[in-house]
Amino acid sequence: MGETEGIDSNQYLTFKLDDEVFGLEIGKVREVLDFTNVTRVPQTPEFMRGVINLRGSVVPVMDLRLKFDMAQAEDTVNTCIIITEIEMDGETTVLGALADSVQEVLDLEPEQIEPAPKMGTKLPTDFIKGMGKQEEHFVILLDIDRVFSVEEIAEVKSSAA
Amino acid sequence: MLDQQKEIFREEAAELLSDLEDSLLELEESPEDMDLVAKVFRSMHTIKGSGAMFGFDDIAAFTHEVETVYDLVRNGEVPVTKELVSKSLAARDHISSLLSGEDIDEARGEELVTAFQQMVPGQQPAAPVETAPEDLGYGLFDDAPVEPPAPVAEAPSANADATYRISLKLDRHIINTGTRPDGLLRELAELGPHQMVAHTGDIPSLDQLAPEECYLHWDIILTTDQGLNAIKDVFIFVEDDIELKIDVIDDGEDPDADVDYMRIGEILLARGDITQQELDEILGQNKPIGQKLIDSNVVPQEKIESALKEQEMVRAARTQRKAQETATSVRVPAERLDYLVDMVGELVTVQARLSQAAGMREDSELVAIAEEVERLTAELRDNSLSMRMLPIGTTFSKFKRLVRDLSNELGKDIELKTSGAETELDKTVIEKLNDPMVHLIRNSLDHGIEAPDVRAAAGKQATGTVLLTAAHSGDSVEITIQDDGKGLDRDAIFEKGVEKGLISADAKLSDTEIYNLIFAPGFSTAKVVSNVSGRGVGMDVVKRSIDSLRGSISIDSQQGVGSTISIRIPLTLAIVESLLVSVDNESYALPLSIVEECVELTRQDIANAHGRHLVNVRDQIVPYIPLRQEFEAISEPPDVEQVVITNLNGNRVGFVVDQVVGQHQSVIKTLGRMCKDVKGLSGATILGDGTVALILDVNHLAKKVEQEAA
Amino acid sequence: MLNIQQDVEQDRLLLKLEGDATIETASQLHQALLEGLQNYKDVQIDCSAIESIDLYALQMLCSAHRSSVAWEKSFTYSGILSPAAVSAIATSGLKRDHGCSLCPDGVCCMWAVSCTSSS
Repeated sequence: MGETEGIDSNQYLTFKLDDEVFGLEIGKVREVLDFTNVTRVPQTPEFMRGVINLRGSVVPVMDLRLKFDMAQAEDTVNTCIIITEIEMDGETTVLGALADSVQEVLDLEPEQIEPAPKMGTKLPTDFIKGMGKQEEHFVILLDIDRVFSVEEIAEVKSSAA
Repeated sequence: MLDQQKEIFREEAAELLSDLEDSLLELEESPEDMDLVAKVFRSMHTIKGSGAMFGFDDIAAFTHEVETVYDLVRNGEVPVTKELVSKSLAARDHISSLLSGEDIDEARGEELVTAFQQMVPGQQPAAPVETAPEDLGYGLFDDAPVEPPAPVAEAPSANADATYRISLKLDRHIINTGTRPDGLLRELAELGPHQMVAHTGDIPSLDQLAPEECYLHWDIILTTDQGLNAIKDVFIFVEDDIELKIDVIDDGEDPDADVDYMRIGEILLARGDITQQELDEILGQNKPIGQKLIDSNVVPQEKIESALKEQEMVRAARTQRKAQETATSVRVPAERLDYLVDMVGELVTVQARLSQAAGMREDSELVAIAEEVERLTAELRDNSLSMRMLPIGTTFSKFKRLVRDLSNELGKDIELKTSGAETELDKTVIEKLNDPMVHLIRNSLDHGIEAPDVRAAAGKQATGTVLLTAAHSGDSVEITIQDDGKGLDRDAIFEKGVEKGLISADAKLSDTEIYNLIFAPGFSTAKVVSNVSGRGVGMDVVKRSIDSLRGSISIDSQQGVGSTISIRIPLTLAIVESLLVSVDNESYALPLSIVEECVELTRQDIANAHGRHLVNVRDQIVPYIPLRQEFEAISEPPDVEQVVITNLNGNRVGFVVDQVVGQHQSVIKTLGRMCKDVKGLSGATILGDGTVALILDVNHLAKKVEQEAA
Repeated sequence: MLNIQQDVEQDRLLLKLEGDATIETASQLHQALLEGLQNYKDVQIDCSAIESIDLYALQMLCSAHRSSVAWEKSFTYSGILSPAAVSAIATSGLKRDHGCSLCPDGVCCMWAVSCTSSS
């Protein structure tokens, strides 16, 4: 089974955006918050929902739906903010990602993960680490560092300027 | 443990070296100042002593040579020369490298050792370094040979705690003058901590005694900060009827004085209670000195007691001084202070929430508690922020050295003058200011101030001057760097700007606008790149550093007369008093210090301005920025909007908001990497209800006004 | 005002001082001490009721003690010292850790801590 290594790399937090199920490496997730008051930051791209107060720190929150070119949804009681730690230029940055709802923590063995498909998904394949197979469904495993990669920051910059 | 001590030594020595550098530079200017010489000597002495104690034998050995010379300088045997100061500065640098263990130039060290040894008249061979820990023996039962008593220092001034030995003998008929001796003693006692010993030896037997005569005389050891004259004043009306002798036995000014004091024998000798010969004879016997003195009957018991009291008193005074020194300054790692300030920041936020919650409950008891917490928090905030405040002079002195060395290198004669060195700024700000300041000063020296012959030809003093000033103004500090050099060449800058594509050739720019072009990226006017200023970095880097401190920089210049660079920096980067406003249902904060007033803006006002963003404030036309428009608001504006009128470097600019909410203590948070380049915002702060408000970058926003107005 | 109360018990004279033992009353005290030591073998002095005492009185006590030693008599305290007396001894600089060289061995000094603080 290899349980010891499982904690590191084989556990994924799954969440829903629209009808799709996504997975995030558990090591990247710091905590999950209920939706809270987000302060909009003017002159930033639309997917940047704003900033929240996370115990005294100001943390930006991204709307993953908009980021992935999906239709914007109304915030519901299930809407939550997944606080992640991402690597950016070798530095760790804390960032919130808005999700419709959080599902579960999933154990996936490496053999249950298939490489990202070249086509057939709306997402750029760069963002996808692989496809996890859970019963009959596929979970899209995100490479969260890539999702908010340096190029994206540049986009924040250029659209703000 | 030892490593930790070594680390402490390193830190302290680094500080001493920095002070030493200041003293040396001052000494160069006023070579006659013996206080400075004494200061230099003490620094060297301390470095040597503690260096040896913590195993820095190389430092101790090297410093010993320098100390020896300064000892002679102190005694007037060796004069202060430019040569001596230069060598001393070089020695300081050498000690500094020995301390850090980096860039140690051994040949240079030996060279300096030789140079210092040669300064000693009669040039003795190098003396072995005293690395043995100092004798901490208690003295009373000590058989060590007695050293001659320390030379009595000149009268210490008031304010420093000094210890005096007062020998007082009253005229037997003192009562006839109407003065009661008790009163004199009481007055004396009031001057400070003291030990008094009355000598009873002259009291006759009862049948010989005249009851109204005074037979007593006293030895008094007194520690006071009132100065010698205060002691003399006690006896002002009986001057002719007393025998008074006052010696300074501890001038209170030597912080390095060992707690240990003179031995009993030395004290008695200094008092004249015993002769050297008597003392030598007694010391020949193999007994504790106190006992020997008593047995030998040379000195009466009470004289010894009196001497003991003196010893005790001086020790107490010195111990207390040491204790006070440790109490008045505690060494705390900077990170701990930063952590404290962070925590206080959190506390300010929580307190705001408490006040808000209490206000909503309408519970008067809770409100009272919240108010108390608010008051305490404000005090705590001010206190902890002030702990991080340092006088900017700490960096000024570094610049002195920089100017001295650079002007030599450039073959120019330049003097650095400073004022406002005591101006305090947050430590983190001072640190971040250092590099830009160095760059600006280098620039002034290199490009600003002309070579001596050029200056002479222009009818200027051969010596150029760079004036560095710092002063508080509101919640910021203004620093100026002013030189009397050739000034900026307006036309050359303009041409260069065109050449670099920064401006078009037909642009109409004011002088200030042209001068400020030098802050544009990649702009450099120096024809020859010297190794003094600018290698890759330009004024744009300086500007960016200042921007990152939420500061501003501007330059003013007059050709042939000189340039002045002004930098404005907020006092602290941590907390700012701000005005809270709302725009489109979001809260924004702007620094309260720039706010002049708030006025209403009605639909009618807007219509009257015919589409121009101008508002009439008491017959003055003020341009404004509609923040709704700026921030692409989606909601409907209120019928009456508010204009916050601000004063930005003398220009009035209005910011139109939906509502003015009130004042707020904003603990400044960064927006984080993701949003750090968003223009028009300089950070965020957390409000009482836990939501985030954004802090407006008014300077940036105001630029749009200028552009519109142009 | 100084009131000196005299109590005689065989060879012993007890002098109880009440009030102010100062320069104004110095002659009075001098006379009492001198007569006492001349006429009695053992003179005890009670300072428990002294309201103020100055240098002149104190040096007289010192002298009396010294004289008693020379005349082979005894001069000691009786009872405790009044607070005024204790503080006067301290502020005048007479207080001693040990007796002075004029006190022969074994005879308690008037100013030694061991004597002034005992009852």
